[in-house]
Amino acid sequence: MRRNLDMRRCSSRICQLMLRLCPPDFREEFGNEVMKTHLDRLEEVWEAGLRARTSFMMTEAVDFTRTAVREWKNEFSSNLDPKTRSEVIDRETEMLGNIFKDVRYSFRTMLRRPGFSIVVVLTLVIGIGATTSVFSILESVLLHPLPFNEPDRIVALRTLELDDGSTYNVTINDYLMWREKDVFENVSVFGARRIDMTGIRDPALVMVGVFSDGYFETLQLSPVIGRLFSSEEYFPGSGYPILLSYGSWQRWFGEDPDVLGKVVTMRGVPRTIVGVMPSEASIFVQEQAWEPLQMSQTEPIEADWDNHSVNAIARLKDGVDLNSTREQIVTLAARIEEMYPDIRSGISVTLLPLNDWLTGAQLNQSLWLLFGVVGFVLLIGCVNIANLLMAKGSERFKELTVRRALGAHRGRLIRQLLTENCLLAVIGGAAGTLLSPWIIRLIIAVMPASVPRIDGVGLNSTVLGFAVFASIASVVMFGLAPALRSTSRRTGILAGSSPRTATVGRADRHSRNILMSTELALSLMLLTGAGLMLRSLGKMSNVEPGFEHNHLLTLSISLPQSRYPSGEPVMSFYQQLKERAENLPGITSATVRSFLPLQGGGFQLWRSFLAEGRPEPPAGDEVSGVPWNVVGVDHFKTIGLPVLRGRTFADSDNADGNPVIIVNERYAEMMFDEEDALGKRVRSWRDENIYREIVGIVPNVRFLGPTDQPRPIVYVPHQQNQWRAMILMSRVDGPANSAVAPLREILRDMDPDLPVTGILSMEDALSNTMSSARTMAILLGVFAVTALLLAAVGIFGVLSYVVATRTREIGIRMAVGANRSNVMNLVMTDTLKVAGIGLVFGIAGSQILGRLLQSQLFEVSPGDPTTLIVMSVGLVGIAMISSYIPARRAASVDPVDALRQE
Amino acid sequence: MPDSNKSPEDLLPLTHLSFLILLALARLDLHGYAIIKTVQQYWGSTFSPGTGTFYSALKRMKQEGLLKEVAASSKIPEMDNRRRYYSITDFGTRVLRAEADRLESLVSTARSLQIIPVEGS
Repeated sequence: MRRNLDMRRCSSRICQLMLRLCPPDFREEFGNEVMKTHLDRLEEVWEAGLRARTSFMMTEAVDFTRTAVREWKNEFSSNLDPKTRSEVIDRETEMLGNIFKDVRYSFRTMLRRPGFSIVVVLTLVIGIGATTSVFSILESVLLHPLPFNEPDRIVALRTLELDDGSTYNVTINDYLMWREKDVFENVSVFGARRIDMTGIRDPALVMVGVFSDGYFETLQLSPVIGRLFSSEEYFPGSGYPILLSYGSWQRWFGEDPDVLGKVVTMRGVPRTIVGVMPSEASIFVQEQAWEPLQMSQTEPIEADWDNHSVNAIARLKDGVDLNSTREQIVTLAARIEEMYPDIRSGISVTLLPLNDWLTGAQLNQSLWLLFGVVGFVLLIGCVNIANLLMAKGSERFKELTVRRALGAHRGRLIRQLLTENCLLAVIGGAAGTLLSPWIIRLIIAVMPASVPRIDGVGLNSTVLGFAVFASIASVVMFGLAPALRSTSRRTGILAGSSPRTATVGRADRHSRNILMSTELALSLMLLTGAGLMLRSLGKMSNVEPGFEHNHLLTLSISLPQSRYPSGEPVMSFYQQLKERAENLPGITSATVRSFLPLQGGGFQLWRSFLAEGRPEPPAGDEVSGVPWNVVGVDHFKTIGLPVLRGRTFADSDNADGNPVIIVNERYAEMMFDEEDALGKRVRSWRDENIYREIVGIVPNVRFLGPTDQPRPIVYVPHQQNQWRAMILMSRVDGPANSAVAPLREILRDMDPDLPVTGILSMEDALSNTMSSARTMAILLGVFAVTALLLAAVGIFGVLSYVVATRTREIGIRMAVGANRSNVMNLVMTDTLKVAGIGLVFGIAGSQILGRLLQSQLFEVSPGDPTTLIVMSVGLVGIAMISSYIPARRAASVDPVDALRQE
Repeated sequence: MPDSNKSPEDLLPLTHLSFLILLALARLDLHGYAIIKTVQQYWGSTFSPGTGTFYSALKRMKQEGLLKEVAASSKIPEMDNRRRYYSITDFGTRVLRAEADRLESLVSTARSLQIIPVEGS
């Protein structure tokens, strides 16, 4: 089904592109109609089978081309007087005739040497296909402007840690200050959370964006129907309006225009739908609905200057650039730092273009890097073709000489040769471009799903333009030099002699050696890069997260407030759920937890801690940024984390009991140094602010993934933090996913209106944390191997040619006493020299590539000697293997035959 | 805009495609795809011009004053507001009639030469 949709989309895209060939007037007047009719007709032939579809699509493509020609001709001739018109047509006809002749001749030449043509076309298909594919991803994710009005003026605002340059959310106070000082045309803070919703088709956990006044004004988006929130609605007590996303409107209400005024229930509270936003609006986290961020405060609250809890976007004032606005907010931040040195020292604010923030620095760098890498693959391909063409040029020596002797202009011959090359490039480029949707699909399949705007990747006019450019650039790279060379003046001087007798000149040999060394150097760079990523990935995979992550299934539940108003029903629900889950045959133990390790999801709180008896900051000694995990009974048993000292949580650790907490080793060490943490009391300063007794100490875990360093973590009992949104964790006997169906069944039985999301095994969560490293390793690996194969084929081709041109020289050498092994050595030594030079430059280049990859490497240095040695040896090996057959051929030259040839 | 002095005969013979399009529009105002479908009813499903060629013809016929674009109206059954509808002009009707006459006289000639049987015989 999906495939069908893709094919239809592909066909409509082709139709759209072909329409672009037509004059603007025609497009304006009939464009939409042509599209609709084409799609209607496609729909009609769809049922008739693949053959009918293909035939229809091809007929349409040809017909669009003919229409374009006809319409342009009409357009053109309608503005000319009849006489000029006929002259122009004559001239055009003659030119077209010549080109046509060249093309026809080129076709014949191409068909005469099918082997050569196939190699060239295949090389181009690989090179252009890969480059176009990566470019189309780059274009959609990074380069394509965001779908807003004047997107360059939209910025994201981030708190900036001056020590290490890290950035994170901003405070509501900062926002209020920017608004008051009138820094931006519009500024808004926002966030998003999953909220349970009923009153729609099925109850669901819905991603709801929440924003302050000015959000859609910043993006300059208006509702498709209905209205935005009124300014009163941003204050508490003025009703509960919501906006729907376009997708939700379609899915839940079938685009019903009467949706306005309908009521849905969120967290048990009725909300009125006041508008529907266009699909561009759901850009941050695929928001499905929005509600206003209702704030009673209109002025900064002193204690909240370090409560960095919200995202912020703003629209720059017209005519004011990014840098001067940045200066302005930095000055304001410096003033705040002076006023509140204990909480804002070393903290500033920065702003960056919205898309840079959306994609993030690492993705940005990875994509450009990949683009560079496929560029190298194309370059290696072109170098190969240039080599082959030079060889072929020499073979066509006689033909070109005769044609010049008969009076052909050099320009004419060059045009002929370039037409041949262009023809190859057009075929290779077109096939590569046609192949690219599949390559794109393969690349996207190995990319993390979280990459923004990845859905929009496809062939558009920019990408096609790029493909055309890449093809032309390839022709220039591989075709021009050989064309110039094989038609040069020398051709005339040597007329009548055979190319075999003309030994390869020193300059020729030099240029060929340079080309081969370049290929090897580029291949080595890519191989080393891929090797580094693979080693790094290997090291990551060997890291144990610190608990038994296998056979652990997780499932998110959010109990709505309306039906579970207080702690008692919440706790009894989870208690019953745990018991029923544990009664299932495949489940050995179950528990709940608020926030999962390995970025598996959940509600995330990071808190600061202070030990009993220590003074409060600024003189204090607190530990900040500690994840606050609310966990159920049997949590440590279920996830397989032993309690090192003390005890685990018991049923008695309930709301009436003594407040308790379990901490990890890192926390104990940071908080109490050498002292024994067990039995000490700590409080989450400024949040919960009650003293909890440390009753147990557990080992550290790699909380955020294999590359995460041990960090302080605390666990508090669910009975003392009776949260509604929790994650059920079950230890399963067999494969983790085997328990999904029975657990769902239990939940449906307990509360049929309860949305269940986030079904994830901890193995998958761990694997997800490595996804970007894996993507880079796979893609770099594939491209590097492609480059290596192309280089090997290139070396083989060039050496075969060199040996063929040196037959006579080799014959003479053998006649005067050289034996077979001498001759083999001669060829192999040449290769070794070339490989040596390639190696030197390749090693230098791979240092640069390693440096670029550094931020993505884990426990592997960018200049890792093992990788470099393995890859270098491998590369020289491949070079030697590709030169072996030509060398053997040289050694088997019969001196008598070789000398008799002339 | 058509030349007001032009007579229907100036445009004859009509191309096959133009004739069929006018025929389809003779009774109803239709959008592009509906025109193709209607012609297929008269002619059979083998009638299948390229979409580009078809609109190229519509454009030319519009310039020649044979048809015009019409606003959506209740007169059209199962009106689809998102599409553009075309209607035959008076001039178009006259051209259609002239072409039909021309064809008919050709058919009569064929009949009188006994290439096809005479009606009723």
